[in-house]
Amino acid sequence: MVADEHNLPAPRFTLTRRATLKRGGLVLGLTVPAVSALLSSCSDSDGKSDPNAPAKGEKYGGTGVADRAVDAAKALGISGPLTLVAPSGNVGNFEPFYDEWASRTGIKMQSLELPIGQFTDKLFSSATAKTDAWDLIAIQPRLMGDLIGANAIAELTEYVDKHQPDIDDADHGFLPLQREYASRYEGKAYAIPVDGDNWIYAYRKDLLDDADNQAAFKSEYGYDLAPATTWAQYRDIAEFFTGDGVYGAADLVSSGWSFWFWELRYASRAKPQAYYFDDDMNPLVNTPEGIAALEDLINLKDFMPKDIPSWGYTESYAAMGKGEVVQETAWTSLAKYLNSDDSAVKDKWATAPMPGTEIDGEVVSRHIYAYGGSLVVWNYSKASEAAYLFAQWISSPEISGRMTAEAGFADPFRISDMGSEQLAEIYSADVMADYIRVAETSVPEIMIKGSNEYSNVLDENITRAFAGQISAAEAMANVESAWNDITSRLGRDEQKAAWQSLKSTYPQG
Amino acid sequence: MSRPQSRLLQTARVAFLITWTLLIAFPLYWTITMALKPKSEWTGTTWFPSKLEWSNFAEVLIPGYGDDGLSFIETPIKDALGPLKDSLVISVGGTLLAVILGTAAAYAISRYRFGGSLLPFNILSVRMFPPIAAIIPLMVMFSTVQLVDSYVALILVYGGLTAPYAVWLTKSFIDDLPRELEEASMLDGNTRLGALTKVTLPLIAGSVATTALFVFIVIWSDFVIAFTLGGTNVEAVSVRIASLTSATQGQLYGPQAALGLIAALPAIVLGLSIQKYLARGLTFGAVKR
Amino acid sequence: MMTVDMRERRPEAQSRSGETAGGAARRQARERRRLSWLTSGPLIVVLLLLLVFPFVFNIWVSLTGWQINQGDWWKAPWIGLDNYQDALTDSRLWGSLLRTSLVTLVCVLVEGGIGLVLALCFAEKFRGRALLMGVTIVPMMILPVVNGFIFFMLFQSDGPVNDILRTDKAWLNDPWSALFVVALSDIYQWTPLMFLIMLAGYNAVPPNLRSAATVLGASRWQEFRYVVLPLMRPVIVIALIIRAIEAFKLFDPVFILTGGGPGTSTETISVYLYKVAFNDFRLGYAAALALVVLILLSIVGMRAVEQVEGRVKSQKEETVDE
Repeated sequence: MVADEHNLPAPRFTLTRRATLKRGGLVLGLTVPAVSALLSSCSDSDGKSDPNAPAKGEKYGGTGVADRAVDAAKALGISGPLTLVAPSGNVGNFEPFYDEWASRTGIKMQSLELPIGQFTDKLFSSATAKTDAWDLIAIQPRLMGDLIGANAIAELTEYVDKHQPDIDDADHGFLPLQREYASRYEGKAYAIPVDGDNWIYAYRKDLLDDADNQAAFKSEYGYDLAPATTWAQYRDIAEFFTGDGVYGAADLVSSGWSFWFWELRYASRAKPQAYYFDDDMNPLVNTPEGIAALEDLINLKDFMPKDIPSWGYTESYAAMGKGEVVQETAWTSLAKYLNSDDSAVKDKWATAPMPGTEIDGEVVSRHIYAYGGSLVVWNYSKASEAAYLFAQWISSPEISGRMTAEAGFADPFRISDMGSEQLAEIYSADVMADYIRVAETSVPEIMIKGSNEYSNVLDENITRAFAGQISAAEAMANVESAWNDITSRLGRDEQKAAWQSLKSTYPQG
Repeated sequence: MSRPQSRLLQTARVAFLITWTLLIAFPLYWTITMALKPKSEWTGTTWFPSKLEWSNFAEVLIPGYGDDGLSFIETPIKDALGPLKDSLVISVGGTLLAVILGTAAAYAISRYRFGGSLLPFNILSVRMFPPIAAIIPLMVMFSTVQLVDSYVALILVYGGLTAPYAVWLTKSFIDDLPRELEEASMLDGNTRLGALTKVTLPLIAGSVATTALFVFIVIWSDFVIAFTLGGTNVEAVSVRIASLTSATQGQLYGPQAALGLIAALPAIVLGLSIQKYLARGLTFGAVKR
Repeated sequence: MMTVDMRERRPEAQSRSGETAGGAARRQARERRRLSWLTSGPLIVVLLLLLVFPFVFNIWVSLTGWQINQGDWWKAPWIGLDNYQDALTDSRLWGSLLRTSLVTLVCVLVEGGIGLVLALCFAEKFRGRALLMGVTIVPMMILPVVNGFIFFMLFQSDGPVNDILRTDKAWLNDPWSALFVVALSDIYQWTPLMFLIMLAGYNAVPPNLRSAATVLGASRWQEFRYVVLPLMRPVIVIALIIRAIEAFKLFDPVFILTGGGPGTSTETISVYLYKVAFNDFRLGYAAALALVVLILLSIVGMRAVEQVEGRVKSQKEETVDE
């Protein structure tokens, strides 16, 4: 097994990384050297550096979700290793916790990284090959329907009933809506959410507050410079600030990313919701609303960095972090990045509610839930219960806060973490204050079977329209006819049922 | 040899060689310096690294290197020793298989007109198969015999799919060897097989080496088969290089370039060691001497 | 006389053994057959395994609506020739076929041309030849994936190429310039191979023929045009064919440089097939597309090989006639 050689030796993740974090986070009252010294002594003594973890042998207590998982896993009496598969770079969300899990349950974990750009491809080609080398996979929840259709993932209802991960608990369950989108498919449990992934609108506060800018903006556009409340204003602000190596926006229009940014704009185009399909699965995107949403993106073309058609989110985060971009719509992890040591704009940015569309004199603003992250159990795993238990454990209220704070770009996903001071420090207090409101109103991306194909078609046509090869209207017409094809191929009745199920989970109003 | 235009030709030749070498050297220079640049200089245009950063090499060669001192949004880079080993195993295995199968078949085709004149073409048409067309059925096939993602499967696929080149490359060399040599050896009491191994094979060793290098490069370079038919238990270097990204930092160009240079070494070493054959070996059967 | 085929001496060789002619011939024929099968059997078995099964399997699933997200292949609905019908009107298929043909044509001709000139440059000994030759062949030793990433960096709008050209062109965002960069990376990668093949071809030209031409007072150009080039022609043609076969499968640089974008404007046939199979999960359709491509390729390929064989043969006859 190759993966054995890649397995992390115990002390890899320990000291400095956590120390940096604690400096910014938890223990604000203490001086930095004192914390470091404290941590390093922990680390030396038992190989575990995290003071948040109870000592070995002690229970986690709290809600009992973590303890239930640990006890049940120990009772299985297996030693692993279990293989967790994640897109390259994302295993950092999980690896810091492998040792703790192993020391408590005796079950070793190892990770396998697959190229992030080809992650879905590999997942589904492996479903065809029925490889049994994997146990857990970190997926985008939108793929659940397709993975179920491919017999690739196991239904978890039995384990959920048996081990009680408290998915729906009002105080410490998963965020509302997200638990619908990211843990269930047509009402059945298939996944355990491990990433919040709501969206934010971030802007450069220092530039928007600047008196000279405000005066100049007012004289040019006839209204006050403030965070955009509509997509039209978003464009104006982008235009106003573009020049001298600074760009007005960096929203992604590249292959594999663009469809989310269209969905974000489309979401606010109708009341009560801008749905993707009607009740008979007829696409609703080749409409003035769908075309306008695409035009909102195309209108930004001159105000975004030249290479934007080949950028992923890391590039756009970095550009804003370097101070080259004035505003962005992105995942909440952007906040984490802009507050990190890599950022040159640490105290110069803020968030505001997502821009929207004026309908009947009222501005409709919508956030979307897109990308996300859930752990699913591979159908060909030989240790599916143990794999499930790891997912329950790492997503438990006892671990969830630490996981989002200590590792990678995962965003908060448990209700009980909303008040965390540590997270408020990492994300900014106002981001966290708004987080639960966003979580209660976010609308889903296309999360039914065929999601990948529906999204790919959308993506392909958006990128073509952005490159000027076709018009926005042509693009949406193409999407409509392709979506109809896809629906007929997958079976209109089944798709109707899946869509009805997703539609029923949309927030009301 | 003094001819009127030879001075002009000489100048043109030198000019062309210099231009070409510069053109070749530019991306090479960028790869080499990229492997030595600190992270802040990976993107954009930095002609000369501000300092030589050997850590890109260390990250991909030394397990656990540089994992301390990461900020919380950075993920550690895993060493690539496993993929290097996997790539070596499948490339060497595939090359051996292709050369053995190919040389043997070339012998039959050359000596006995085996399969008539169409066989060489049919064998070459194997290469026309679009990779995806072969990959999906092979995936299904290997999964039924529980060989998906194994050395055996990849060696078989690579060896089989590159063997046509081995046939084409060695056939002409066997054509060129007078049969009398083998026959004389058989008259001396050797069996046909003995004659083949003692007389023919040593004479075509140079061509076999060239063939092996060519096939090795083809296998070693491949991404799509390694990615689709391997990837979990067997991870090729090319797949690892494509995976060298970070969720928070994007593409890790420095380590990618460093690992890319390391991965180029086997082929370069092989190439240099058989350079004298290279200038004669790659004729693909199209030349009669 | 140098092209006399050894095979033509077979009867002579046979009659050398002292036995009765008929029995010996039969015995030898038997032994030939046995040895033929022994030596080429393994390859044939492996190729049948690797090709015949996929071929039959592809024909089968191309007649079904098999999709990964709809379960196993044997459960897929039978849809007859629908996939083929769709393929005929699939603009992405024909677009990518045309594009791939264009890129293949350009790349192969440029690689062949430069390869030939390089071979002529390196034909004679000069100081530093070994070193220069070493540098010249390095690009083909570097993984295409790595070259892909490097070309990606070189052609960013703030990258070194623009720095030299004093522009800020976004090369990879415009369909034609993106295709140009893709072709460039292929040329960079594989010109060394063409060079080596051409060099081998040149070295196989008997020196005495060249010196004969010189003695007869031919100029360098005449010597090249009337002696070297005709003798090298089979090598050149086979080199072009082999490169064309490989270039037609162009995948890695496109995948890394553009992913087929912007839109679908740099999609090659391999990339499109890959996307149909693993992004859209339509394996039945992918199989149909692959078969269409394979049939087209075989027709073109067969033609090309017939041409080469014809040329080689006619040339052989010419030399024998002399």
